[in-house]
Amino acid sequence: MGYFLSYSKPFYPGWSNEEAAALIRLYDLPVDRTIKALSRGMRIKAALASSLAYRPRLIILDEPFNGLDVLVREQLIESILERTSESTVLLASHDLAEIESFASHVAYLDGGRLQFVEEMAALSDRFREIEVTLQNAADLPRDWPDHWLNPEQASVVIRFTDSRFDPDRSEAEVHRLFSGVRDIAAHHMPLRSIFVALAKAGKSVR
Amino acid sequence: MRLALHIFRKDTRRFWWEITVTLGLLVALAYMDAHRIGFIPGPMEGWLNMLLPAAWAYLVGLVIHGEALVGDRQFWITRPYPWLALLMAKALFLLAFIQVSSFAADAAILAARGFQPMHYLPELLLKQLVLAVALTLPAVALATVTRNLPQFVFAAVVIAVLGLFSMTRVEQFWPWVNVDQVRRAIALLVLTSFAAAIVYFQYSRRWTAASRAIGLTAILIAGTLFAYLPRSYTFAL
Repeated sequence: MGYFLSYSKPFYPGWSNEEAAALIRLYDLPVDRTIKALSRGMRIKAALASSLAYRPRLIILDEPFNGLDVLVREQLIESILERTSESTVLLASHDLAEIESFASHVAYLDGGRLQFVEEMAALSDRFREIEVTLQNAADLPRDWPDHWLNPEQASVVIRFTDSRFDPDRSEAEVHRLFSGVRDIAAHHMPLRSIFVALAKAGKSVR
Repeated sequence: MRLALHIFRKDTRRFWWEITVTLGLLVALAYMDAHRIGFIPGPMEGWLNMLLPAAWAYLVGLVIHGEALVGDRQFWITRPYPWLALLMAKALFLLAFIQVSSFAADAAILAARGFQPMHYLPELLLKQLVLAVALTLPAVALATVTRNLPQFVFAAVVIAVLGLFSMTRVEQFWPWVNVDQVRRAIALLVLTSFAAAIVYFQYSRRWTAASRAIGLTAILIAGTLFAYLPRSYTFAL
């Protein structure tokens, strides 16, 4: 492990011995053991230590937290965020709940095609699960908007995902399409629910 | 050059056991050769003569597959290896533990038999050239186009068996018939040129499909030339 780090050093002009030593301490890496003998979590830590030690401007991580326990994940995420304030981290993951806590931008790939890339806050702002309660049961309107995804109806309650949510405009649109609206509730959606809604709808949202 | 030496040191550290085994075989063979009475090698020396090239080829496979060139999942390609430094490191390794070692063993045999090695420098260097073009370079080329070590070993065994079988069908091995130098040299020249091209393409671009096609083309051309060139060319020398 120690040899691996010293082997990596000459490849990077920006390598910092102090940073490498700090990462070894932080991750509690066993420098006298071979990489082959390390667990998956330790191997990921070793790979990260050998990458963060040269302060890269771009880090690409492909499913880095798969198979790791929660504590190790938290430790890795914290250390990446602390040490990459001036870097870009591109992280591919299926664990949406996890990336929601720290991602600044989100890109959505479906079938190998990039559907959209957007700031996390903007994405979170424009998606809402809308629940409309009518006074009397009614059919869904024929001119259903494209950006209202996955409509479901149960008696007087209609639910859908608004992919272009705006408090005033969305409410006005509901009133325009439904008569006898008793209540409108807009629920914030976690990233996971947004992606499930998009996958179910099977369409781009731009 | 600094990075090439760095990678070379890593490979030496990593494969020290295999290096020791091949050097041990070489020393044993050189000792038997130097102390042999008569022209014909004994059975043990005969076996070592076959085993040592196989061990060298395996060493080539090991060191090249330390940074395998086929595929896109290898850890090393996530690191900024300059291709020239990597190629130089591998060349340095093979030079040190195959070519120079073999040269030193040949020189030691000559010295043990009372000859001055420096007087036979051209012959010693020519033997190294033959070793490089007949074994080291083709093995390197094969290792660069195979996915892993088992695939390399399998391909090497198949090629060696087919090559030897073809040679026995085409060449006549009789003590009174001189070695078919022209056809052998032409076939080796073709294989060497194409092998060098493969090594260059694999290290600089990692064009595996193209390199494999070049390899197959080389085998076909060399085989065709070897089979169809008139044997009378040798007698013309």
